[in-house]
Amino acid sequence: MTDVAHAGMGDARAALSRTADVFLMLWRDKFAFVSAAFLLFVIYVAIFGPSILPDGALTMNLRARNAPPFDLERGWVYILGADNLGRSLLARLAVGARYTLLIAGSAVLIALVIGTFFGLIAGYRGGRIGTIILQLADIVMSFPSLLLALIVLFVLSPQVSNVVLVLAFSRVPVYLRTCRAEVLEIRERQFVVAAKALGASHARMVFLHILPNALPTLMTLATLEFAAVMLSESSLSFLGLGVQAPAVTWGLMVSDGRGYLATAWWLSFWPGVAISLTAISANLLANWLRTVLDPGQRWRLEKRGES
Amino acid sequence: MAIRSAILSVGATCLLLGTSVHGAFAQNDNHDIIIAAPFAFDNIDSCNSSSEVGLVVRENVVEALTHLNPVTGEPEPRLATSWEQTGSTTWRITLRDGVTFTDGEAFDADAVARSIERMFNPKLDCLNRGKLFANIRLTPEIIDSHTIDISTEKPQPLMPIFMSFLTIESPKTDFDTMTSAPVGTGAYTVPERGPADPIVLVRQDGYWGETPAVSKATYLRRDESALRAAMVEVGEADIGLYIAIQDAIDPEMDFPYLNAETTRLRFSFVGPFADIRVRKAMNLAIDRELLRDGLFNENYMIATQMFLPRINGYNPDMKPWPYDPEQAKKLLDEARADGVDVDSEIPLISRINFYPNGQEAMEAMIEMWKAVGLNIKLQPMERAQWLKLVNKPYAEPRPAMLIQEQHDNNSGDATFTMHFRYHSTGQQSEFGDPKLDELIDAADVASGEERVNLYQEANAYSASEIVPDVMMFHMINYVRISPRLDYHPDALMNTMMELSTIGFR
Amino acid sequence: MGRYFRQRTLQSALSLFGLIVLVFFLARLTGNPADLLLPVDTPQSVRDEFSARHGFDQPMIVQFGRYLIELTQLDMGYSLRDGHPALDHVLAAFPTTLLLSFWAMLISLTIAIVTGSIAAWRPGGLFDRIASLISLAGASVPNFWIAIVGVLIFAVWYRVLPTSGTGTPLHWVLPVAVLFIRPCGVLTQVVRSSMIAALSAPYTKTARARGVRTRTVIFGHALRNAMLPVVTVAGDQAAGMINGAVIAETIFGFPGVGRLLIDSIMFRDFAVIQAAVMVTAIAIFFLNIGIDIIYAILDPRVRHG
Repeated sequence: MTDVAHAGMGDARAALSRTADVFLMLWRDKFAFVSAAFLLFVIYVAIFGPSILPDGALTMNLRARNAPPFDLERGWVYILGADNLGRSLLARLAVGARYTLLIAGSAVLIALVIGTFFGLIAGYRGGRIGTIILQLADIVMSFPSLLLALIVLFVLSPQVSNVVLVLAFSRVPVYLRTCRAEVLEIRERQFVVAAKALGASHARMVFLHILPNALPTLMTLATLEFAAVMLSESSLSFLGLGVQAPAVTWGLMVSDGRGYLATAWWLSFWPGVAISLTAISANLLANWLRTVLDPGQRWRLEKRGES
Repeated sequence: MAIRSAILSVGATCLLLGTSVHGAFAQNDNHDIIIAAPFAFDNIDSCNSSSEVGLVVRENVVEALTHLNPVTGEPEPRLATSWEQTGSTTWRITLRDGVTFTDGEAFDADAVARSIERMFNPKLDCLNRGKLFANIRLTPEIIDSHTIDISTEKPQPLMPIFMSFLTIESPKTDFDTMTSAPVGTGAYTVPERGPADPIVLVRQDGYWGETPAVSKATYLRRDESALRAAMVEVGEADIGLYIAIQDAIDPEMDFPYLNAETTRLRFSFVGPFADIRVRKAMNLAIDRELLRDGLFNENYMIATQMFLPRINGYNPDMKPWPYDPEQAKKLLDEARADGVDVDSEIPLISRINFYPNGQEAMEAMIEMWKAVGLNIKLQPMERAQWLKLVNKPYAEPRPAMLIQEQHDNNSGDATFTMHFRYHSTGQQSEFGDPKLDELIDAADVASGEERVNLYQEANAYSASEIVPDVMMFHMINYVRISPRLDYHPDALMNTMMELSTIGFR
Repeated sequence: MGRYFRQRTLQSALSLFGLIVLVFFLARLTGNPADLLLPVDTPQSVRDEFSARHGFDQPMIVQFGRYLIELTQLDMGYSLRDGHPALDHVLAAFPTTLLLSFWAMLISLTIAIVTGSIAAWRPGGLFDRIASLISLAGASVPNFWIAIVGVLIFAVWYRVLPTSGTGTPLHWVLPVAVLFIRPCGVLTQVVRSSMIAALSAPYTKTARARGVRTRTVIFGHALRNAMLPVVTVAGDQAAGMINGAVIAETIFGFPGVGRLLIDSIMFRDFAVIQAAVMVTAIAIFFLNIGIDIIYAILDPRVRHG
């Protein structure tokens, strides 16, 4: 993200070398590298997976109901077994990846944008408006997200977009508070104070000086939140307040399969593994991001490259 | 690291405490039992005894005037010893002698009259009134201390069945508020408890009937079926109610029973569904046997009508729809040729967490319809939202849709089902057919053989000439019973669970 | 200090009021309780009667006015499900949730501080890597799944723990385990990163150079300074727990606020929803004050700021 933020300042070649630097730093942290690779893989599956599946992998086949995993008799698509309608779990996971990433991704993005926007105002303007915004954030924080989910489910309908809305809304305060805290701190830095003294406009101040400096922290937070949102989504599904069929997310698959834990563990195990691996990857990547973006820690990733 | 060490240490602690743990788990030799149910049993006032609250209080705490035979559905004496129709709208009931309430009050005609009046008290949210007596006002008249007349505005041939819902509570019961500790004539009392405590029933001495074997029953709420099953398996509970089919894996402990629920999909008679060929085709396209064997099991009965064979008015001659996708396609082609729009997407309104495997059944049926070229889309709804589509007055314009439904008729008579669903004025009816209305109207006031015949005719006529629904199954519930109990669930299990029928091995 | 708390209380009271308004009106968007509490086949006349009896037929603003007036007399209405005062329900359920959260937080913090500190000693070292991975893994599994698998393993297969319910301390093991895993993972990460920062700060470096014992450096010098962000995050986690032990409580049959809230939401038991939200918000307010006090103790600058 840093390279994007600073791309405007240097020429294209500089940007290229920065990208290479970033890649090198990623390569040096093996955990982060594997995580990034895994996340890319999941994204690839989410985009292309459903279309490369053989025909019929997603159609019901009651005779293959709860077919066990590692049985190649029915073809490679059934390697992870079949669900309680006899659909290939692998295929379902691929379709679930699309919905899961879409939901978690858009919820994080929406919350990030809204939270950052209000956080900037609250931090930069401060005063009465700042207090009011913080107060609103407090209210949103203490509003029971389950009630919110029900309201959305009832007033609107259990569409994917509405689940996104619920998840995004309840996470806005997290970004808002973080962003505000960052702004308060950055505002006092010398170059910002200097820019202000030179008569920079508010827009210039916010978008050129403050936002780019707050962005690294926010991006790290967003990566962490991605994992959290995915888990929240599965909790909503568990309580029957989340995504509904025919849409499918990993969380919904875990929740639907939980009744079969004693008899057909694979129904909820694989989607559970998918959630966990993706969440771990996001977290590890966030850790790496935090190190990269922290000037005091960055050497850890640069130093070893020299040896 | 953190988690692993925690789990290890927890495990170690448990192993150290192992002996005492097992001590705590072991069932006492006494006759206290624990029942795990998915219900909160919020309000166990006897006035709610027709809901799941009946599982706790009905016949155990508060007894009714009659009791339905679980096999035949015939009313049998309980607090009433005999009854007869004395006028077209009046029944005379003789009450049992020598019965007292557990608080010492005498059971007599006054108590019965008061219980009836209390049920009709508009200050109470009484489920029995709402469910059964919304349109039937009972007027009690005391003849002597143990004889009472109950009259209605219209002739009421079903009075002896209704009497099985008239649970009688002590005259000391507050008339204007619901109570969380009902007092009746049953063998058990309910001690006072805090809002977060489970319900406990305690056996008391001096019950007029035979003393039951169970000395104390505790009702625990556990939402997950797997957990209820596990509790019985490890001996933490003796009875686990509503065990999901996938948890009912031990034939030694898990017993199926028809839970009186019947499932169907209802058509709104709009758009393509206004055409009977489409409705027929939708039925022909469903392989009910595959559905049953794949998602449920052989205990589930393929339904031809909305209530069980033991209900008055059941027509045993009706046959389930055959699975004939070719015929279905032909009918659809015919309809298409006549300009009926059978190709647009039509929603199937389902209810979230309705019944076990309900969602899967809907998805499977949609696949079957897809195979004959229909485009049905699942649209799950939360209960309140679903209800708005189910009950009249319907919002206009009413879209073409299928609605997932489940209906229980525990009463013993078809009227509770027929009028509501198939009569043009019924609250959940989608159509009006003069001949069917006539049949139902005639049946409602008839009695005996004639009543049965009329309902049977109405059922057969509706299923063949109107096709108002896609009938599914008579549903099964499982109950897991600890091997230490000598107990077999009966057909009334859905509405009551008489502790007196539970013995010990 | 006094002025600070006065201001804080005023702000929180304002937030609380906003919350109440929001919950009151939004909850009523979700349908009529008459539909949920009465059987499906109930005639419309009976539903209307029910609504009228509980005042749901009146204009929203009248209902709200009445609610506010009753609130000034500390009357939060009654539960539609059993007629008991809503506040009684919440107060009966609250201790369970508090206790559950307390144990889960205590265990999380203890494990997080120890593991995080050791991990921070050599960032990138073997211990750090393994601890990070495990704490992240713990934080990345859906907790209802952990709960059900936990019951299966410990209560059904090995039979060392009871499946559910309250009673003995053993009954608390699984619910607390389900609750602590996620915060523990998050907190371990926070402790780790702030410890890394604290350990590279000049004063700890000096201490290390002077040859002070490792343990003293970590737990004596660095930890105190590293605790500030930990306390903040722990506070948020604790608030979340008080707000949302829903899953642990539902699965294990714990009669806590989380389960009460979800039940009330499902049945549109408005008075109980409102009471639960209010009591929880007040509890979180006190929690935040507690955190401020801890902050003041840890960081003398705050006291004068």
